[in-house]
Amino acid sequence: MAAAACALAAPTLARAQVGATVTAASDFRLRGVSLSDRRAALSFSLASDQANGLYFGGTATLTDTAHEGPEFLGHSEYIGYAHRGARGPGIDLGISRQDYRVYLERRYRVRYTQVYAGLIGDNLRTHVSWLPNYPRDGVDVIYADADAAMRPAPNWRVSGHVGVLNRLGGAYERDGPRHRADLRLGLAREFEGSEVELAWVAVSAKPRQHPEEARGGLVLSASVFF
Amino acid sequence: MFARLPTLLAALALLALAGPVLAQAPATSRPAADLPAMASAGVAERQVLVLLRLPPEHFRADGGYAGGYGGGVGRAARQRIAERLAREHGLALAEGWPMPLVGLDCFVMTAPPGRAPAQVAAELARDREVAWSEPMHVYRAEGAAAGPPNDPLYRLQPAAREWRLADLHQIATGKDVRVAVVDSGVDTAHPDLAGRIQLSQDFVPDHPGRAELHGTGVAGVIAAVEGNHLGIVGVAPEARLMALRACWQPGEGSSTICDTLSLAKALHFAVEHDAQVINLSLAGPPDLLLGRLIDAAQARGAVVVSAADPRLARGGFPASHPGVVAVTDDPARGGEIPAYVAPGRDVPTTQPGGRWSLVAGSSFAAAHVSGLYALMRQRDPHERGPPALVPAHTGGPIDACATLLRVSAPCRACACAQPASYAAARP
Repeated sequence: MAAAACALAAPTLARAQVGATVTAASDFRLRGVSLSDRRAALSFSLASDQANGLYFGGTATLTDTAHEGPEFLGHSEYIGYAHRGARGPGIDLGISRQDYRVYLERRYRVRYTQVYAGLIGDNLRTHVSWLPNYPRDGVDVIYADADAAMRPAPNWRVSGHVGVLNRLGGAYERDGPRHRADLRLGLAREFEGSEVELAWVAVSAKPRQHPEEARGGLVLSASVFF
Repeated sequence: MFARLPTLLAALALLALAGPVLAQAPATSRPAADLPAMASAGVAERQVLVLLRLPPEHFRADGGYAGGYGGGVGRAARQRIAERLAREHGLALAEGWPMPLVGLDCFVMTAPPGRAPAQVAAELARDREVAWSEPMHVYRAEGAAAGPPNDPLYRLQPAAREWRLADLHQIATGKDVRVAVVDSGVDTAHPDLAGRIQLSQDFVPDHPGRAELHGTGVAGVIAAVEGNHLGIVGVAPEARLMALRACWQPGEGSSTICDTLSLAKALHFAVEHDAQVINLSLAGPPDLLLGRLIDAAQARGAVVVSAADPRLARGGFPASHPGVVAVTDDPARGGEIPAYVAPGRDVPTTQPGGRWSLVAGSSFAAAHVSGLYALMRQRDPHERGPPALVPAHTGGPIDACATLLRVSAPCRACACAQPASYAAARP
């Protein structure tokens, strides 16, 4: 995917806006589920936006394990195209790859590719993603989500996210509940080149691999942008 | 590389919290206030705007979403580009302001004395990272005080007679129509504006002066309260005003001025907050950024009303911009420039400090028309774009009754539908 991104981006790379982020968080959650066993995580992200609407980026994440210290948790990459005209919502299309070794007493791996399409509004963004053969061959997942954000005061941002995961096929016992919703409400204070956010994250049902986990929790994070 | 992540987490949190302090390095945002104080438009006339592309918000693997403003990572990338441009061109980076409605991130840079901003802008525009660059333009309000404070009455208002205001208000009062007054500061505590100001926002905090003559006067013409035994009656006395301070009065007796950036900030805010009518009682040179924002406003159905200045080509900008309703107070100029004629001479209106005074100029003619559009929007809220106004005769003043009746349900009993002789000015 990285090679494809480079090939597509090459003609316009000179006009790319490239940024990097380092985020330290008290937990690392994917669609509401903790992959770090509610332990702190450190993520490094790179993002590039081209003048022609093409964009791509990636994130690598470490977690602070209980016994072995910092350990590589996983990585994700994405490439897509976004366009917004003078009026009406914009479009967002792309593909993303996620690969994480979930840190729990019993390790397991979350690895999937997702194809997504979405609409972009002024303060609202929606996507529908298709995750083929996830969590295993023959079982597909459709994930629909919406993000909203508003600024009640300068440098303050309130954001919300709601997502619904729908499993197409498979068995309950083996693959977990057929539908699962996740919710995220965040309050961020933006500074020049950095931000701090406190978010409440919850899921409607726990994955079967996470029987001990609470369904909701607070996540504190701090990001520095370069 | 690090002993324990919690330590690093704490360090990063501290780094994030220390952001404002670390950002005090030269050539970062903010320092508009750090620059030498401007007597009037002095520094603005040495500034250029550098517009960088602001990509639309899109999917991110880490789920970050900043509500259209591009998020911190994109902002940092653009800030870096702006800093490089400033360094390479020998400019001082003054401030930045993202404008997601038009997909642009706007940076202000100050040229050293002796360098022409137009030339600097042309050089900057050649950089591949730059969408475009333009000199900061200065705009002047199109109105002035016409006399000492007095004790005005409704009967003194030209609109009471010429526009048959009481008859108009039988049909509509502009109830809950959102009108953005992009102007100097409005006296939000003025008793004749009580309850009419929905919100007030200052986009030129480095030019102190909360309540000013021009903005307060324009606001009163549009929406002064009716039937409160005080002062005057606004054309749309139940409209909801957004008092957006984008202009300032540099000193006692001096004219009211604004610049491209302050106007752009206010226009962006007005569009983002769904203003239905936007009043721009000012004129100056054509400007690409402001033109884009006006286009965005019109694309969302807002009516943009501007004062026309007969001394400028086609009435000046923004009056000359496509789709903008241009207004003059001078009947003799009505045929010379493409502008409607509305009351703007010896207009009693609100002034700071709870006073009233007589004013004159196309600014106040434009304010009358903004009020009239508020009445029309109340009657026909789904109308997109500005419906044509009805002149009393070719090139003549607006016939407000005929204009409003055209968008209203048939109303034979309305006084507006009767000949003008029926409509004596009623207090």
